[in-house]
Amino acid sequence: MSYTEKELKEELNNKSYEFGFVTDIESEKAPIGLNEDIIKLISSKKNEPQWMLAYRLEAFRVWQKMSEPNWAHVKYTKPDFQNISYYAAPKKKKELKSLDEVDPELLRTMEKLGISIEEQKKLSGVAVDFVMDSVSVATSFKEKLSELGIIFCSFSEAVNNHPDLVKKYMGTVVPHTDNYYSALNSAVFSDGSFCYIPKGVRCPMELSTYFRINESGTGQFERTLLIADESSYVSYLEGCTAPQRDENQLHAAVVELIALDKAEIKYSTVQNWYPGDAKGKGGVYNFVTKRGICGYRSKISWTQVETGSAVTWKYPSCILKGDHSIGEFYSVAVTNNFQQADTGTKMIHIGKNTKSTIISKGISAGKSQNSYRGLVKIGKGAKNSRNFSQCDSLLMTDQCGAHTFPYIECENPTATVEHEATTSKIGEDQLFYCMQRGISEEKAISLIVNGYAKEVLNKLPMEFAVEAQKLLEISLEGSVG
Amino acid sequence: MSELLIEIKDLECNIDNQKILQGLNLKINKGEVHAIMGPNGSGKSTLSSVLAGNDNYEVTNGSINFLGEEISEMSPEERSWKGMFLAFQYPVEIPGVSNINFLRTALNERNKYFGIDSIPAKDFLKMVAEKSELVGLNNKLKNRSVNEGFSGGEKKRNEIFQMAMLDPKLSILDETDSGLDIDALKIVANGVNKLKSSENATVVITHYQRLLDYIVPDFVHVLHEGKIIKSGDKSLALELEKKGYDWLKNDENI
Amino acid sequence: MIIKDLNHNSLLKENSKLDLEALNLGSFPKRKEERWKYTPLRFLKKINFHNQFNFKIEHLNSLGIPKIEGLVIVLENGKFNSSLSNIIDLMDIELLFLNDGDIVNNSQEPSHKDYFTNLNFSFLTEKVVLKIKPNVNINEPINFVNIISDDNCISNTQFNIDIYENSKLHIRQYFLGSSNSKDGFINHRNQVSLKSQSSLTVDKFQDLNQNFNFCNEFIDQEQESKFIMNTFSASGIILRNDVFNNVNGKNCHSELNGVFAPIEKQHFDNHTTINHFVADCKSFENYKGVIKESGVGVFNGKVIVHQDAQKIEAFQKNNNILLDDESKIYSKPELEIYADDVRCSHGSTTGRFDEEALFYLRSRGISVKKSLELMTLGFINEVIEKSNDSAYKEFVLKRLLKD
Repeated sequence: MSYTEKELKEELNNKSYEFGFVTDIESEKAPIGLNEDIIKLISSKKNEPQWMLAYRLEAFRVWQKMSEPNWAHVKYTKPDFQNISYYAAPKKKKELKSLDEVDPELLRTMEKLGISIEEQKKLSGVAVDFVMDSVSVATSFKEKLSELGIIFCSFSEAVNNHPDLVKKYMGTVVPHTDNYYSALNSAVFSDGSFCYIPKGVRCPMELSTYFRINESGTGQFERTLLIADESSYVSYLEGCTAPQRDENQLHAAVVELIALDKAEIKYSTVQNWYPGDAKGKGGVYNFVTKRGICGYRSKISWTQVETGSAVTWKYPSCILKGDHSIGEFYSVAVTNNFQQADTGTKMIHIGKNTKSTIISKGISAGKSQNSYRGLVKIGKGAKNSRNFSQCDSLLMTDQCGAHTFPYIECENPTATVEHEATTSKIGEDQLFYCMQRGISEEKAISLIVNGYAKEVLNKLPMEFAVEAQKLLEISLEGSVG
Repeated sequence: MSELLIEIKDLECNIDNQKILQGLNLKINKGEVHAIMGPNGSGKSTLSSVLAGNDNYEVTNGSINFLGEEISEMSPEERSWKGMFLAFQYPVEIPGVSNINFLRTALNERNKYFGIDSIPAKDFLKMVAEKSELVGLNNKLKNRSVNEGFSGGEKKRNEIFQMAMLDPKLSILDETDSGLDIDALKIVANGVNKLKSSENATVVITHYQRLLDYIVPDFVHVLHEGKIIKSGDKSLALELEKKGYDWLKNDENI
Repeated sequence: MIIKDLNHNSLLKENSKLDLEALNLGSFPKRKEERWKYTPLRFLKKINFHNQFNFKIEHLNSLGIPKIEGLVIVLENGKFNSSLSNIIDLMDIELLFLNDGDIVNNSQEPSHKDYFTNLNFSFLTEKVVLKIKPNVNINEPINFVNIISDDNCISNTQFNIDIYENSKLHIRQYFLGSSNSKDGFINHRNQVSLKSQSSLTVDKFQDLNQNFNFCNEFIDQEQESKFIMNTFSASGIILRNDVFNNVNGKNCHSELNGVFAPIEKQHFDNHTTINHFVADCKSFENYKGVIKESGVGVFNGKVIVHQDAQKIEAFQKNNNILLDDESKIYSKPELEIYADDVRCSHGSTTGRFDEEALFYLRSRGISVKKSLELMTLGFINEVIEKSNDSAYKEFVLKRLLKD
């Protein structure tokens, strides 16, 4: 059954997927399928140096020997990796020096998303690295950042302009051998973001990247590398919207964070990939490997609001290697209709006096399955380390599922690990109370859910928090069973 | 009558490398009641912890001579066996361990140290009945876990009950009056007074003069910045109540 | 009481050596499998087992357990030992053993086919079936003692308990390894069927010394039945308990409690699965781990609330204390919920004893060793208290604290 124009229009009218639209831009695509030649093609299209190609090919060889993991609590048709096009780039017309040169179609898309660069510039001081189908086509605020020595550019640019940094850090947190999807990503990654904050610099603005999947049948393989040098600070925002599709799309990103001694990285994500329609048709497969490593007294904080994707497989993690380092994970994951999410974190305590906090709020509606899967590992040398985890699940209907799979591995007696989890239904008395005061059921649900998720939403930067709240509301429309 | 019980000389101690006690001197004879007063952060609770042997505090200088023995290197339990008792400001909850079992273990451990047979269950229970009357401790509380789910007042009464059971030579009451209403305060004070004898001594650590109306001190000391800056009789407490501590901090009044 | 034929024979030929991995029983579990991730099966694989059975124990009291009264069923090295047993006549109870024709005919295929279940069924050495007629309340506990006393002996035993409508029973199970035997292995299976309004409490005590013990337990509950199982694991090279509690009827009560106290590189593994298939039931889990001297503890609890099983209340708790640098705990409390109107929670804590509490005890004249003991007692007391016989409690405590 294919999707018709008419149905699309109806969907849009019903606003069931607010950001679902297709931008009509000509794009250059690689033939479908995956082999060494395709990888060489990707590499040459991007004018990559030899060492980068070698890295890709090595990853490809490793990937070929691996099999797709199936331990997650999700069911889906495994993607046919030979039926995906691994490279698509908007046709390069010429070098873009200013926004005026950007395709007006692209600008309109951004406006629809409510993130027009013009507006961004004026209002919030957010530098936007806009990624359209894997290739950065517009960046702003670059000059101001470069004054401070901050490098914020597309991954491809970094490969060519900052090869030493890329070579030194790429693959150190998520090695290409790490897992099936990270190996695939290392072989075929299209583009992504690179960020370097020099010693002692406090990045004066939120760095932001908006990702979109735009081309039908295009796999997206983003790669992000973020290095915060000693005593620096950066807050990084990543947001995703995707157009409506009737065909599953694969997204397998790799994000690596490196917080050197006394550095702090705050990484926030609002993720709204297309989740499929109300019948469970279509939607994005989101298989992401996100991980950060902490040096002495450094801190990495992951905040995510997940409302999208048909299937999510995502565990933003922290390796707390340095003594006194801190890892945090705050997550709201909403699943509706036929969505499936298996998400959580790993906190690996290696250094002494390391501390981690996990707050996970799952909301299941429709016929969706929402799982928290988290590992807290206290290594032998992680003296006096502490972890606190709280994983709550809220169930909206009798057809959905909420699951909790915590793994607690403690090998040091001086550590304290606490895990709590609760699963409950949305309070009928709360709903009734709201409704008696004249608040509609839908509004009441959104009110209660926002209250429930507040602890996490509060961790988001202001401009993101508003968008996240809106997303929660949209995601749960018509969700009461 | 004036047999020396404890002598603290030039006591200095640190916690987390921060100096708390800075040369404290104090002598207590048997049969005496001493009150130690002072503003927040003057080192009152530190003093009680150090005397009881809490190893979070590092003694960097000075000596504590208790009944003719230097005790500053002694473990808390050994000090307890020798007759040191601390009524905690915040008595610790020990879930799952009944009050009765706890006290019986404490008594038997001490007996073992002195080479005495453990106390027969019958005698023990008789003793419990006797001593708990002293502070009107509810019978149910005795069988509950140590301090778990006790109200503030119940916890403090339980401390005095334990004091009665262990019959110490030196009792240190660390802010025993905090969180008590007037009736509870009277009961606790009454218990302490009954336990007083010519063989033991009491140190009352407090913020307020109120408790001293009921447990009348022979000496009152003012602690400030880890040192005793003024000593006097019970009238000093009344003066402090009226004037506060600030007048003392200006050296000319010391 | 009906007692059937007590003639035994072995399904394994005498003197045959058993290499566990070489048996054709499906694949031997690997560490890569989620359920076997933490269990060091290499220790088991090394051993060449036999199942010639010899009776070596002359008196039960040589095993250091308190005097057991009433009905006592003793298996030693995988066989029924009648001289150690005390088969008294109890009304309303039917007791059957392996060689009885009825049992062989009725021996049901296992629903859960993992390696150790297959091993158990294929090389069964003894099976005991206990049936309680309807409307009977048996107050005195029935005792089931399963001993390994011979080096390298493998014992595959089964115990089926069928409790009919509105009846009530209390069972004490002892899994014991004599102190002078080593590398013996009891691979046991409990199969419990609880008819409506019936009730069963099982106190299970494991003290295997230098031997191994795996227990697979399958419990099926009909409506308004009550099942309580308290597992006390005191010693053994590897102890592993896999409990599958299926709740098939409404208004049931299911309760799994346990204390595991591995020392000296011992490895104690507790796996539980409570399956709520229907609405209006309650389940409780409370496991306490006390781990020291390089001991390793594992708790993997799973509560599954199936679709339409509304109004379920499920509470799962696992608290662990690590007493020294070399001890380890792996805790995995899981919830899988497919119904919305439920109240489920789990909590897991791991740490050491509160320093402040330790100081409090010491300031009252209690030595460090005794203080730790007292706090350990306090820590596990909540679970020990589930058993209402004070002599039994005292004995279990002593063994758990290795007093």
